[in-house]
Amino acid sequence: MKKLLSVFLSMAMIIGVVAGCKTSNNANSSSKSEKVNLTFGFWGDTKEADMKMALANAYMDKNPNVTIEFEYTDGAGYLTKMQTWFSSNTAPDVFGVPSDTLFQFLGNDKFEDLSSYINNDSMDKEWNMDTVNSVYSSDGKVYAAPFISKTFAIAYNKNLFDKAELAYPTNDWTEDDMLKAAKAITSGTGIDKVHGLRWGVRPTEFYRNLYGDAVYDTTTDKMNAANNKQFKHAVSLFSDTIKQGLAPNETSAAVSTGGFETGKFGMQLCATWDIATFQSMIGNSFNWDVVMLPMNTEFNTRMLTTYRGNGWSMSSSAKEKQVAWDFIKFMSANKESQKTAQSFGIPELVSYANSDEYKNDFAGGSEYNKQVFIDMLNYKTGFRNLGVYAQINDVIKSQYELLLADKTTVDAMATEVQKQGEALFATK
Amino acid sequence: MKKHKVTSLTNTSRLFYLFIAPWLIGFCVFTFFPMVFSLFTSFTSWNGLSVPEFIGFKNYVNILTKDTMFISSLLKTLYYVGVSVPLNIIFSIILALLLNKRLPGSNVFRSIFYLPTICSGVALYIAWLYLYNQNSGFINVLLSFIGIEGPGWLTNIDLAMPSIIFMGMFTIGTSMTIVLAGLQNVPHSYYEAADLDGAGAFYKFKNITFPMISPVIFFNLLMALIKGLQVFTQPYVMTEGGPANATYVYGLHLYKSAFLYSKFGYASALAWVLFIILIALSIAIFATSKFWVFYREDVN
Repeated sequence: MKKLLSVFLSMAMIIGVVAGCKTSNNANSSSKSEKVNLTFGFWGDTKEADMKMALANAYMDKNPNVTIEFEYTDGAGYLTKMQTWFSSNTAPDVFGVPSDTLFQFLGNDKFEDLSSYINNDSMDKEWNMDTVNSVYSSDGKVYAAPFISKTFAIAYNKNLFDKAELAYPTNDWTEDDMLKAAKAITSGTGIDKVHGLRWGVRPTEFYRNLYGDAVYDTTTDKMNAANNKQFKHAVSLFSDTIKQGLAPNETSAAVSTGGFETGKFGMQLCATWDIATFQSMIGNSFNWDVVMLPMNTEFNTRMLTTYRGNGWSMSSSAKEKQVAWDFIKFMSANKESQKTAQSFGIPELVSYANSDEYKNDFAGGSEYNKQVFIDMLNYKTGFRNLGVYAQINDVIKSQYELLLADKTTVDAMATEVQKQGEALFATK
Repeated sequence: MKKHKVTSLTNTSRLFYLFIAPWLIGFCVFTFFPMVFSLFTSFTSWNGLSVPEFIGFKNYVNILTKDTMFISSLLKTLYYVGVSVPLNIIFSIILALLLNKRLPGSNVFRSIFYLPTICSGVALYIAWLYLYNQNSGFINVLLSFIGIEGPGWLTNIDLAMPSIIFMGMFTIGTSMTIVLAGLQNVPHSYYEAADLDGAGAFYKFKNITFPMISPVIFFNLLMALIKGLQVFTQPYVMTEGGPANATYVYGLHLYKSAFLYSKFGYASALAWVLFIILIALSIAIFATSKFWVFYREDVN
């Protein structure tokens, strides 16, 4: 009896271990009444994640037979998440794709080609196909459907501008105007310090191509740092403003000062996804608005914004492809969904993005010049954060940090970046 | 007496294997097979998406001859280990000695010292980011009360790593608890005998306490060494390896090689090189242990 009990207990333990393993999904439903499980991968800060979950919940409300399981990670870890999904063949049925990393996965058979879905449903009437073709396609294959676009602008604190007796910036303002305003607003020390500017962690992304002459060419894989006047000027702009105390140094450390919403910054380089935070956190504590990135009079060009397209992809191993496509369409081509997402980026549903309804809709929050983010689409630059480009970006960043610490000069930094970058491209 | 050759497992043996089967299966699935796969990929060029391409020892050759960040990150890691491990051992002994005095409130302090150990690592490191903030961090605010302008603890190239090491001192609760357990196993009769002979506190520590707790110190040393060489989370969360690679440790180099640079094969090779270094250092510590670690049964 004792022996029998022992055998039973040990078998129970083994079965428990094996039962913990995932079982395959045998669902092969083709009708709306049959239960469908979809997995949905996405990133974002708290507010953006809430928005995406709200879209999924809304879809489930409309389609009670569909259950969506979330696979969320924060923005910084999403790249790692994608790599892990693809290397282990566990990509969710529908998952978000940032345009700056898609290049690494081109030619990958883990993405379902969406071109037939787009053609069959005439989605060219709903989306800007130039965006689809330039950002989400390669060699005739469409890797993702567009969801929202994200650009940067400068948010400015009207109260601090009033206090410094400065006129509010307009879209034709210059870099010199911005620096003068930053100097006039910066005051105090320690905990009472008010900075005229806040770059956040963006300098290491923006200096790569701030005015149009990129520090490396991603089509030819050639470095362009040593004699690149625009790159050197960009690096100097960011490092000098930090060294002069006009902006805090947040290059290495995670953001911990609290942002524009604290009221301690005259201006901040802000993205579309910051707007939801500004609207909920600032409230009535101060007035603010946004303006386009300033013009540089030396290079006769406006500062460029890094551009992020956010799309939705379907895994080629998704079992319920039609349902997955339906869910993607719900998020990217449904007016209510795009309305929900509009606090985080510029909608890709053309009819809605061009409407007065969108331009006048501030989701119940404070009003701001929404057109600024749309206009910045005309001054955008792509960027890459994977593979050999990530290595070169890290080289530039470490040299930039030496510059911030006054352990190198701009010219020496550019020369070193050129040398190390060329060595890295040679190993590609 | 005739000897019978054992040709099959006894009933007891069968039950033994049956009971350890769940653990064995888990070990094989989640530890052993991944290690074997990692060893295999270390001899390949693999970006995580395509089929791995066998390239022999090329990854290892590149690590040892071409990768400047390998040496740099290893030195940063050894710096971290070389400072944090001795501090860990020393402070855990000091705290354990104090708590062993069983003064009123010792239990409360024991809990206080152990509390940071059970807090989530990432949450703790983010809290320290706020403490270390140059303008509004609590440390610099306190310093400002006495007229000192605090530096950028994590943005200063010379201070970033010491700041991370200092933060680590607040999580020595586990080492302290293990030393405390060792102290409580030291027979009081030894101290009584020493008191009768007129021995002072330092003499008693050097000739009774330290030898008696040397096995737990040895254990703590080994654990701290293994943990220290694998340091990753603190620099990843707090500094991303900066400023200017001042905190770019080996673990970060391994992580970036895999997930940012898309060189999974190379990252696997880095992992095995670290494993070999760890084994070598562990063997060295084991070899020295015969000179300073005393087990009670050996003494008896």
